[in-house]
Amino acid sequence: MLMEVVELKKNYLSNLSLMRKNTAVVKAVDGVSFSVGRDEVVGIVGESGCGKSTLARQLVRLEVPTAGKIYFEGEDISLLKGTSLKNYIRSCQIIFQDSLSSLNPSLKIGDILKEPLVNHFKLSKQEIHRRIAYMLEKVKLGAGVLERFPQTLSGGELQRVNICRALLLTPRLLICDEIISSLDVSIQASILNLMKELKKEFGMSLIFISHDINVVRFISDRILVMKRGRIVEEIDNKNREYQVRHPYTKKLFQSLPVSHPDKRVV
Amino acid sequence: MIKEKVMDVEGLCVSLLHRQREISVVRDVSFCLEEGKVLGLIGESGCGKSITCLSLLGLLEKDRWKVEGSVRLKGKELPYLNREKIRRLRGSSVAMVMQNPISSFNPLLTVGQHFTETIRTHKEVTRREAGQIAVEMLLKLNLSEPEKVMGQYPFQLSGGMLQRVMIAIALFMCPHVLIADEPTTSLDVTVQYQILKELAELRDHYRTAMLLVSHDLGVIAQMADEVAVMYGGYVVEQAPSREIFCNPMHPYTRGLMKSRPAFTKDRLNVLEGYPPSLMKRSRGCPFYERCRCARKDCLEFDMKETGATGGHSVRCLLYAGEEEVKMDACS
Repeated sequence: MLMEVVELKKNYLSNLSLMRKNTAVVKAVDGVSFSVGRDEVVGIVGESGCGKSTLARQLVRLEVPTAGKIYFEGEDISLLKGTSLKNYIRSCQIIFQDSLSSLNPSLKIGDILKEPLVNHFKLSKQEIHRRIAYMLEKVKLGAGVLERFPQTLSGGELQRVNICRALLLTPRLLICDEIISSLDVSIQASILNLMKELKKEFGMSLIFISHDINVVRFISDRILVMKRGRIVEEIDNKNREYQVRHPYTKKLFQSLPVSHPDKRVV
Repeated sequence: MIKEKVMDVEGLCVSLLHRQREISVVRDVSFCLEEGKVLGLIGESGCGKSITCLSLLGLLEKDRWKVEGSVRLKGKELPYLNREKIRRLRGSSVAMVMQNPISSFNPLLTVGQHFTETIRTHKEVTRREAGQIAVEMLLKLNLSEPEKVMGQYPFQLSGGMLQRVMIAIALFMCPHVLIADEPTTSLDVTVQYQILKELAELRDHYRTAMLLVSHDLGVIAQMADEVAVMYGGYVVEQAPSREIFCNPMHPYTRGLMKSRPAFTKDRLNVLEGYPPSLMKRSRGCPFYERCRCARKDCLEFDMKETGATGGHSVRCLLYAGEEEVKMDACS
């Protein structure tokens, strides 16, 4: 077991009115438990506002859980400090949907990619260059991007840079939060293939979050279906005969557009 | 039933005037919209889909865009030069639903005010009557509590509700043509399903001709009667929906079909490379760099239609000659 999440909750307070002190509790994540095994791809699907992203942000300590525990290799991550926290950050990386705003606009790609290596390892300049060159090749980017600024790259290239930056730290768990949602269809396919290849090559686990069921079904071993902060169904995606049970999951699957005009239900 | 051509677009070319240069964005696009039918327009970002839509409504600024070609509505040329005349047509004969509902509304006006403004532009009715028409329209789109919605501001509604309101505003005059530019892209699948269903019902009810733009093959498969595939400003392939899904001809269409993620696939067939940039468009086929069947003469290709059998037209040199096309070599 690589990561175990136990009864995780996150509540937000929202002001109902500016004048009165009415507050309502929004339960973004409402008691979620699951685990991620070594070498496993866990997909998370759900509609917007169901708590997918809040969950992801809690896993990398960008949000503090209201209640519940997250264990990474048996250790409670909320207790980590100093070196052990740094180690955790290194082994658990996250990539976001908005590829441009994830990159510092005033740095060249080369400098952006150098940063994690400088922060986490003591390496010689040659070694840093060697690792960056190696990883760039893995994500299928040319060395030409190193001298360019983020704004000058296309969405697909930017997301490759983000993937490259995360992989330079050789994480054991990579969280992908809607990483292909803003890309064109043909680019989506190439990033999906790339993630599958990289996962195999580096032997890491993935948490793949998306609202697109087809995408999640393509890449995942196991799928968690979220609704209103809860996991309503866990789908064994390796089992091709698996029949979904929960009414919400059924509704999700029925709402998918048909793949061929002949399959239209009139 | 007699099919009636409602909108006929011929040789539409749009170019952007930028620093003394003309950047052509839409090139030689022709199609026609028929009563009660849906034409699906599919393509990647930057291929000219949205500009095509905007130009049909005369929404492109004259000093920045050059629009050529002919657009006929019920046999009459659209009066692009007369601002007042085209303004009257918009909303009453040709209506549009945009991709991003929240930015299409004025944040300072309530939903009701949006309605009354539109209705009173086109019909001589009192405010109260306009309100009644609006409530009826909203009920048709299955919005609960339409009276309450009328008093609300756009930010108080969810994306799906706003999109319904926009469709209601677009359809209340029973336009001949509805242009829907990615109407469900920003919505969740369950909401998308609902909206598509409602659009289909309205099309059947009002016999509206619809141009449905999307980058999602699923949405197109669900809705369209005929499909046009756009790439680099050209419609590279156009055919009845069933035909294009069963027998895609252009290498780009074939690539798109194959790159769809599916549960049963282990690896996706990928179109390598990126879509061409607008600024760098050169001669020949815009798909040349990514095409697996590219040949030398593709760079000299004038992008004329090369094959048109049974309503299936394609612009690709593969289908130019009499020679047998070896599909397997390309896929």
